[in-house]
Amino acid sequence: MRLSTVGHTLREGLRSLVRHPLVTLASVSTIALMLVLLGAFDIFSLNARQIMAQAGQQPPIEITMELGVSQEKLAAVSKAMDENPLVIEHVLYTPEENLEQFKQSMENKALFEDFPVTNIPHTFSVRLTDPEQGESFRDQISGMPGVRKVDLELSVMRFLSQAIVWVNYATLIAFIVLGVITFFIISNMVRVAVFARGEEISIMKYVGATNSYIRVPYIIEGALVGLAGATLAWLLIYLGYTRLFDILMEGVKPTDILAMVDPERIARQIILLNLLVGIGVGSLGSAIAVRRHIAV
Amino acid sequence: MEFRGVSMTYQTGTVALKDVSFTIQDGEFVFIIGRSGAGKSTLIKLLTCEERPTGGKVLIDRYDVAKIRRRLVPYLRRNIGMVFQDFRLIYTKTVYENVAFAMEIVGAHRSTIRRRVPIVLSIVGLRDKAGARPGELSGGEQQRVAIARAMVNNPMLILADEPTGNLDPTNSETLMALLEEINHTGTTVVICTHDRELVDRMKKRVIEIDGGCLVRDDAIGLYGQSCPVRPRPNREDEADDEIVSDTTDTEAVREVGS
Repeated sequence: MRLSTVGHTLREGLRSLVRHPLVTLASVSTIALMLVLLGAFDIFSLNARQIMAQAGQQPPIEITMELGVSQEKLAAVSKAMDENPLVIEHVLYTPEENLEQFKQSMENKALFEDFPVTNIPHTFSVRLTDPEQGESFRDQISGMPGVRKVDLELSVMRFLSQAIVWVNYATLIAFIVLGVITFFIISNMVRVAVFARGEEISIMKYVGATNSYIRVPYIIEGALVGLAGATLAWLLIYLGYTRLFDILMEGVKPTDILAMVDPERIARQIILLNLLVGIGVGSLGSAIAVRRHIAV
Repeated sequence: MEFRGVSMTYQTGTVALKDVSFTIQDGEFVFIIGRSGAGKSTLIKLLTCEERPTGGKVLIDRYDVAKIRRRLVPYLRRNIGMVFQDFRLIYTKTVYENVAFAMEIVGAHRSTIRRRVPIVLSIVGLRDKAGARPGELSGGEQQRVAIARAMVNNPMLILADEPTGNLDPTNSETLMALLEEINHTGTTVVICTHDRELVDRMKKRVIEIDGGCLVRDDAIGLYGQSCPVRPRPNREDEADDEIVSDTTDTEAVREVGS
């Protein structure tokens, strides 16, 4: 394609947007709406994944040893975990430390002053690389000598894991439904533009314009509408999420189990997704529509 | 350019052309005449590949345009300059832009466009109107812009469909003189018309279509002159055909002309 043809294509694509501002506005709004919803689902999914990851790393796994366990058995369990690639870290708590921790959690600490430490076991707090491997880890450790039980906080993980699956399905359905609506809106936009320029297009055909020469400006128009919709949606999501983050995360540490994903990370991820989907849907919708309406 | 036994029946069942055969040599100036609905426009549509014949062959430069691939159609059209009765100019563009537009489409360099468009506008006598919009011009001037657009890419053929239909006699004459001048440069000119005076005055080759059939092909003909090159089709055979119902009118036109 010659440079002058590229210039013509871009110029016509831009002109077409301005010629029918209301149709353009409707198309941009629909794409933006679709992407805002898509972004909302994506944000939920990202946050759910982060909570899952943090929950898995915030020792919901606790190994309780038998009372009066020997140092050899403690060392054997510790060594097994050192060699286990699933384990990020493990911390041994002595009966004294566990008692102290227990006392701290109670209002009336004096009640436990004389509580015999021999009734308190050694425990290990464990962080795993992948929380979903918790059960497999339990199976490996629970059979070792000196181990009484291995506790997993599975309910939260199972809920989050299930929620992510639901969110992914909902995202897919919303994407398809909104994608179809967007396609019809864009198709209509192209049809209006083609009818408005019907005479010019017929002249172009008689003079010997190729299909691509006539069609590409409409595809560019669709891509520009997609770009505008994506940018608008990104701005709305970013501003909305930042506001929500500021309200909900006041006083919450970023390492906390319920800490939300940082808005900057959301912004980076959403802009990529929006641009990809927005420009893709816009140009593809136009390409299909223009193919139906223009043939030399 | 050759029509070899060309027939055309539209999907609606309307028969537009029946076994039409004729040849036009390079550099000829030909009038195709016939009343409305005779099949002249179909003939043009076949030449520009807007329609494909249902029978026979349409050859341009020995290529059968009926079999040309869709994606190659634009390249065929670049060799044909079209002129219409209603001018078909883009009214949002200036005269210069209307002509340059035809060159842009074929991918001409900007410098070539800047050099050639003023020359072509000079030929049609509109160089001083380059900046005007078509709406500011008279009908004759608008048709000259259309001719400039048709000739700017140096086509081998100029096809004009009722080019004088919206023009007064003076403008019609100017236009014909212009087309004749273009023809003298070697470009084949084919004009579909029912402008009797024009055809009679120009004394060029005349092909007459009637009811979808070629009824006359005179080397130097008049509009109403009857000098068939082949026997007319037996009209009785076509008694049931809707096109045959036009015969009476055509005969009347012929009689008035002669």
